[in-house]
Amino acid sequence: MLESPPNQAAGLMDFAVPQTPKLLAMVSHGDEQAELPLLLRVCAALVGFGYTVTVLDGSVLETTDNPGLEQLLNFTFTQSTGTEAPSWSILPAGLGLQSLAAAHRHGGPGLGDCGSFFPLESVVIIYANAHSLTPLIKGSQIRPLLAMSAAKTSLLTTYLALKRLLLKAKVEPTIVNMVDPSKPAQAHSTTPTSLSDCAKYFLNYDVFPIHITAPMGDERPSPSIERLALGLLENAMSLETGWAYAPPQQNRQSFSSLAASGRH
Amino acid sequence: MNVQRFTAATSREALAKARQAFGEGTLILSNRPTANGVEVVATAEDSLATLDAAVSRTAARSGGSSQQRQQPPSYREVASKVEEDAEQLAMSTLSFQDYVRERMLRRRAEAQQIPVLQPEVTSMPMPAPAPVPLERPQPTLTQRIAIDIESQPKRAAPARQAAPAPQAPAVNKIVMDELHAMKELIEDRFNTLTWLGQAKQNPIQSNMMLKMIRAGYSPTLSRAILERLPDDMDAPESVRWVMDVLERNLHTDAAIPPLHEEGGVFALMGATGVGKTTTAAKLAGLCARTHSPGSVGLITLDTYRIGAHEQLRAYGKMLGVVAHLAHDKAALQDLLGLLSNKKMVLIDTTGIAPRDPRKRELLELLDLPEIKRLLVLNAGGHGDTMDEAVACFKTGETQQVILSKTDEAVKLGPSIDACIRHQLMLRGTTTGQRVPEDWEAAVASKLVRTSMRSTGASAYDPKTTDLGFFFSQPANTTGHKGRMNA
Repeated sequence: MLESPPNQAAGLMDFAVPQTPKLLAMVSHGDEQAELPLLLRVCAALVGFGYTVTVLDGSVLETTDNPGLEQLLNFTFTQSTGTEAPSWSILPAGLGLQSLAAAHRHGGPGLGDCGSFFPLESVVIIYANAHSLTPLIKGSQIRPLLAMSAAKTSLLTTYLALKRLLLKAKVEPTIVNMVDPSKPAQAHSTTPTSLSDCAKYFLNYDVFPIHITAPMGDERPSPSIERLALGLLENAMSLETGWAYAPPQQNRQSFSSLAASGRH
Repeated sequence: MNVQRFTAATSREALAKARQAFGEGTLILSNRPTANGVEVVATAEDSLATLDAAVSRTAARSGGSSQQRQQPPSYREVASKVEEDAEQLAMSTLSFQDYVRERMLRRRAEAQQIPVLQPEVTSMPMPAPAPVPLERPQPTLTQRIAIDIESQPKRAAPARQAAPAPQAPAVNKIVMDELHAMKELIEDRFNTLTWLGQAKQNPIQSNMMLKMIRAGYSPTLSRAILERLPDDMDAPESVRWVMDVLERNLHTDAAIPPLHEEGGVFALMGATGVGKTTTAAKLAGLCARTHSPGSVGLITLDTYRIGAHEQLRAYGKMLGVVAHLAHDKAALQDLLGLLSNKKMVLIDTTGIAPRDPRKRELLELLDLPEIKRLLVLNAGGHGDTMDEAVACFKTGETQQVILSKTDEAVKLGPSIDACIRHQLMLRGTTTGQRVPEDWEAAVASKLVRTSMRSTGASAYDPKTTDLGFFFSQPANTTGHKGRMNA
């Protein structure tokens, strides 16, 4: 009896790469007015494109009431699965990211091996400061998102984050200048110009910021944010499933016991 | 000077409180842990400026004595203080989780308010809309043309008395042109009749003509070939000769690497429903198989058709390739920069009818030096439809074409005919729905052989006696005939 293929693209499966979660990063540097709305829209854009997203919020510490990455790594917490699972979620990850960095520093598994902890996600976004991100993404192909605005302190904090990423993490960020449409045009160009000048003078680095109009109330991502989200995916890191000790039902070793030597 | 003390469980919360009180220009004076959490002493930046002014005035009054008393801080102390300040600045005061939660709550509250408000709004009499000064709408293409014509300075009506005499030569020229056209028409008709007479007397030529027209080749191309058919050939030889001529004139990419090995940026263009997206997916699959999925870039410009991006994205997801979306030329250029390290970048465009005014916008959008255009033609289409599509998407350089749906085409003659007459370079054919299996390299001999194969009886096939009707219309201009290397 003739067997019909499941769909017309069944042939693509033969040489397609295995589906692993893609890792993106966004730098937190205190400019919440620019960062949080952008991150929200990027998540919305990715969800709109059919990706399942989890944000690992490094600016929040995990607690027993609000478990996150640390508990996930120690197998004491699992994310909701099944059809009822939301298309995107936020997990506190302040401690978990520190643990991962410490473990990696001592020869343990790195962030790139954590794919098995996110079996249902297609995109994982780390939102953390440059200091926390550096050991995790050092030398990778990721281009972390660095949002800046016309706020007074944004120039200094963006520059510090940029410097750390370039010099310590050896990664080039995707710099986005959030343009506030209610402010005069001159205000939008001051901070990027100053950042470009500083980066050129002190770091010998050319900054080409992407100018995006700051979202005003509307939750839907603009075409430029959609394009940005897809552009970030192009340089995303694949989270491999190498770090899978045992099936969930079996006696698994927790991350704490494995990476005890690396923990502070 | 307004100095305030803020206490909270964490320094982040304390900082948030301080910023709430003093705004962006908050200056943190001290930050120390306490039994209940963290205590932050802060003031506004403006207060400091006032203080500076006061200090300078005091200093001016007291002279240099105070300077001697106070030891200036060392460079190291200042540097470490600056570093601490910068770290405090870089500290988040609001987590993403809280931000999203707050927004969701606000949305929920707004959603609950709307149903209450709606009846009130509907029950109220609608006020007459205030006359808002509307922005002048951008003219559409047709309007633009009209506007352009209107905006041109109107020429003064030519004064009749200004040029009365030269009218006679102008009329003469028109008459002469008409006479020439008539002469050409008569000559052409007589030539055709003579040729038809000869063809009827020569059964081989007559049968070949019928065979070509039944295969879907145009009378123009058929006649151009058969006029050169040597007289001394028998029937099988003449068939082989005709097929050889067709093969030689059908340009394919046999001498150059196939598309997926050659690489580059290719934009797939064509009318609606010819299979551009599926062809893009096939090429992406072939390139991914030869090189790697990471060597392929996918962009769609199709923001018009519902589900266009989703379709390409679905193929991309299977390959692990991101399908990008470009709304305008700037975005397309950005994306081409982003994907510059890819072996092959495929741009799927909006399918548009040849007479659609949006065609010009699309051609302008793709007018970038690195983009090579690939015209996708439905092999099963009518000859005239294909002629129009080719003419519509014509570019200065050699036009490259892909024949799609050859498996559905009853006759391949029209598509091969169009390729020969318009001197197109055939880069491949698609032979079915399967991605990427149903892709074949363009082999001229195979295509010509397939086209000349009998397709069985058809109501559309002409009889021998009908042959005259095909040539009853005046022959087309040389431009329509195209060039041929017979």
